[in-house]
Amino acid sequence: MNYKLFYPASLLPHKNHHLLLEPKLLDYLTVNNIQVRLTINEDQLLAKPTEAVICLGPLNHDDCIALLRESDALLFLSEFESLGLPLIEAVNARKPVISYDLPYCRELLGDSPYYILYESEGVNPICSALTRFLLDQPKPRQSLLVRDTLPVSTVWSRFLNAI
Amino acid sequence: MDLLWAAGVNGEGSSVVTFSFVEFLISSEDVSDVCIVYTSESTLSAKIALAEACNAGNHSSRNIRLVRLPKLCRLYPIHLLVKYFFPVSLWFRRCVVFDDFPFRLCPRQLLYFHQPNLIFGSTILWKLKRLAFMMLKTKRLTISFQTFHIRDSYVRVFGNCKSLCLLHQV
Repeated sequence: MNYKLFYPASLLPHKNHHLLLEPKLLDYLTVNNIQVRLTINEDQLLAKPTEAVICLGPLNHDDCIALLRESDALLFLSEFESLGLPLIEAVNARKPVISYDLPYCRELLGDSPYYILYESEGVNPICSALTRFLLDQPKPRQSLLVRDTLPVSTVWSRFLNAI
Repeated sequence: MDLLWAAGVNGEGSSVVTFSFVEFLISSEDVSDVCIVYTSESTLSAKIALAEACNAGNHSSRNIRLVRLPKLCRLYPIHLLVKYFFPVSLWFRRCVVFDDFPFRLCPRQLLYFHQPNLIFGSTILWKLKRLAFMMLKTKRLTISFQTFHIRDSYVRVFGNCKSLCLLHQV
């Protein structure tokens, strides 16, 4: 496989793992030599894993970061998040993000061309976003998140001052 | 003494976020008089064990107390009973909660909100948890959100609240 995408997420309904089992997307991934790596167990996928979609089982945080670094992009299919930690980690690792165009993503990543967004649900927009990824091969950028991240010490002080 | 309550934290993502605070409290020389509560056999517990081994004894002089509860306390019915009846303010001055549900009997309290299913979850179970959340939250509760979009969504579902919106390093 030429391209490796990483999708670190537990098997929850809003994470949309089921989209990866759609025959059209599976065919697209296979034809274009793309492999998606998931952090769920094979028996959770409810379908026979293929070379295009592989299940690595739950990984700890350090292993997730290591795997993200050796991947070509982060794929993130979640419908909602309070934060979306993998997005921050992907940006820090200077990896492109392929994700829904949703508020949680916009707030962290803004309009940066560093990532590719698809705008509606279903498999077709994912395929077209992947095509854009394959054609563009976005280059890592220096600018990171739209919002500044504060040190934990500062946040802890603000917590205690607020109550 | 202040309380950091993370007894219900077990997921990988929430453990990473919560642990960044626990690690800071254990290792920082500037922090004292904090009790950190978590549960055994959790992802967070494994991370704390490692941090404790690295800082062995360093925090004992600063009165950082680590309290590990049995994993049974992560069960939602038990978890919610504790949140409903435990009179936190009898023992603690202030409290920061990391596991989704606030204490009903704690006037000086900050809830770190990182469970989007409480807002967006559409299953019966999440609707029940939303109901439980409504019963536990009080007007004096302060809530910390990581992003503005989740704060706005919270206000749409639960109404206005005292809030902070801080994105921190992990």
